[in-house]
Amino acid sequence: LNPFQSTGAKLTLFYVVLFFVTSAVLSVVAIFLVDGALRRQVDLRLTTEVQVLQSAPALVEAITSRMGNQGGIKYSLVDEAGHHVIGDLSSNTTQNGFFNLSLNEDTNAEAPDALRGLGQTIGTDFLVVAIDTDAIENVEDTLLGVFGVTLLCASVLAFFGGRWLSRFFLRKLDQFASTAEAITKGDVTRRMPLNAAGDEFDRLSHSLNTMLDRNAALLESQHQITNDVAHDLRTPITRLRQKLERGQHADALADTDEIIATMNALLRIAEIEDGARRQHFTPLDLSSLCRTLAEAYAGALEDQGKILQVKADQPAMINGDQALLTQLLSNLLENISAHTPSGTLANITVTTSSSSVELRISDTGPGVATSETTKLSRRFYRAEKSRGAAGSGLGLSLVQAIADLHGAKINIQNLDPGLGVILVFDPAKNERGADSQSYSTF
Amino acid sequence: MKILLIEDDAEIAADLCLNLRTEGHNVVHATNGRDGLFLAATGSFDITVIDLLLPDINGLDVLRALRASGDKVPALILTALGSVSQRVEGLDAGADDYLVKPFAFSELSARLKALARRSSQQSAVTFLRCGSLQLDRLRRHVIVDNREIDLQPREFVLLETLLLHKTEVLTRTMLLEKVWDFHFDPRTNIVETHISRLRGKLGPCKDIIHTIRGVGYVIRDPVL
Repeated sequence: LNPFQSTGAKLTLFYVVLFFVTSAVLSVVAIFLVDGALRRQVDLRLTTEVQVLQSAPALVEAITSRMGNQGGIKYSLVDEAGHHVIGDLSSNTTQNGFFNLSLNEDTNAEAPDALRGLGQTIGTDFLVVAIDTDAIENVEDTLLGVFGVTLLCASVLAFFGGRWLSRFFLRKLDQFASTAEAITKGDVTRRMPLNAAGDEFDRLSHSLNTMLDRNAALLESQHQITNDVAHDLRTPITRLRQKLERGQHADALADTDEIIATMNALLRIAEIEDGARRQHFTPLDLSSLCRTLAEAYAGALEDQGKILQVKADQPAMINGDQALLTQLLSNLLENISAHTPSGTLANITVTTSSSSVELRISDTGPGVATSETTKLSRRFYRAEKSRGAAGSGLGLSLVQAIADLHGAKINIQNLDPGLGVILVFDPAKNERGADSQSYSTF
Repeated sequence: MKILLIEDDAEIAADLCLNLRTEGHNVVHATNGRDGLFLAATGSFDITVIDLLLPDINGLDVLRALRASGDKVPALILTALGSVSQRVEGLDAGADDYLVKPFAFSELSARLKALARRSSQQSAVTFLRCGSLQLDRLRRHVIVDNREIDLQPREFVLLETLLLHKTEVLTRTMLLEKVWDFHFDPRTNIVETHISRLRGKLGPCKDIIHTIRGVGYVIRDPVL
């Protein structure tokens, strides 16, 4: 792998360049500012000096007395005829105002080689005061040196800092990568590392772990279905085989239908559990659905000597899958039809409140022991009393799956006597697309 | 009837061809979607039967291609996949009916006959008659021997459905789908119960509903 292809190297290089450019720009700006300030100060001193001399009563004496003790200020006074009157500076400037003077040809190493001067006509004479600007250049040189070293240090720091930062992030990413690799290799129980910081990495871990959990649950449910199919179809297939051997074709057909029904129920549960059906949700009236189902079953139940009553007059709007809710109600009514004796009274009640819709299907049949109520919706579970009755033991699993899909709470109660199944729908909650998580950028 | 069967499983296809020919139909068999599309375009068929899982083109795509080309021949889809969303998808693609494998041949036969007639019948008729029975689809009432009889809503739809398919056998599954919108098989004999109650209410006309054992029900004009 080319080291410059790695994100770490790119990050480091980025940090170094960023630090270097920032520091360099800062240095240049600082030097300009310092230079400007120093030069303004020099000009101010020269102006002040000229003013002092202008106001002196005897110019030549004043210059003489100040020469040499004004911190590097040099003087030159030239008379009308151009003769040098006094001063330690030789200048041929004759114009008023500031000027720069270079004395590069001067061989004396001690002497200044750059001067800033100010010319001013006083009476008939011409005065020049000048000051050595080498000091300013020295300050600038020093500053340049300091900034240079700073720049170097910053770059080195940036290099190590960048490396540390990128390693820190990359180590995190490596943890994700190695976890993913472990999961791919078969260790499906591994999860992304969590830290207590609650930072973006932690949230990413949480999201990924939620996804992994969901996948694991799906995998588990697939596994479960395979097992269930193998387990529950073996018995009827064995029976079918025996009947075919004995030539009982009519019975064999009935067994085949039984097998198909079981398989359909299993596939239906699997389809519902994967949750994709939520896309088909539409607003519907649960009361009207209950009345339709009750009408379908009333006759059959009546023939068995049972009475079915419906109290569902108020519209009860929920979001749901009509076909599946039809199946849910049908399964519950099938249970009453198959597992209660003649003379049983069954009730379907739909009640609405401001926040929920409650569906209650109860009967006065033998019911189920309280200890068994929680096991009822398990796949293939048959309550003790119903072992002899027809059915695959999948009816309530399907009811449970459909209720879960609709976000409905299901409660199975032993009414003693009788069994009550209560489903509570939350119309506000069972709309799809309710849960989506978003990330802020920082 | 001239039937185009697009089915890749040789055994199922041979069995279906044999049974359909025994019933007097003319069956043309294609083993893949490409051949099926070609045959559909060249011959004039009364019904197309399409298996969903074909080796080359998906059955749904075959159907969509047929419908896109203006083919209006009634189509029945056969599939091993029975989920509700797939049924809806099939009907959206232009299928007229949907049958999940495994199925009884009598079920397929009844559905094919119903489909073939559907294309020729006018569904806009208001009055359906059989013997001395008259059903008014607009006012939703039934008159037997000049007396109005009182039917429950589903009993009315059941009678209406049977009358719309007069002389055709409707299977239990077909009735569950058409009358109750049940796309699963309840254990309770809902259809039987409703038929028996309906017969009870029809009084002198009760014999127009015939039970075909092991298959379903049919309404026929009374033999005078």
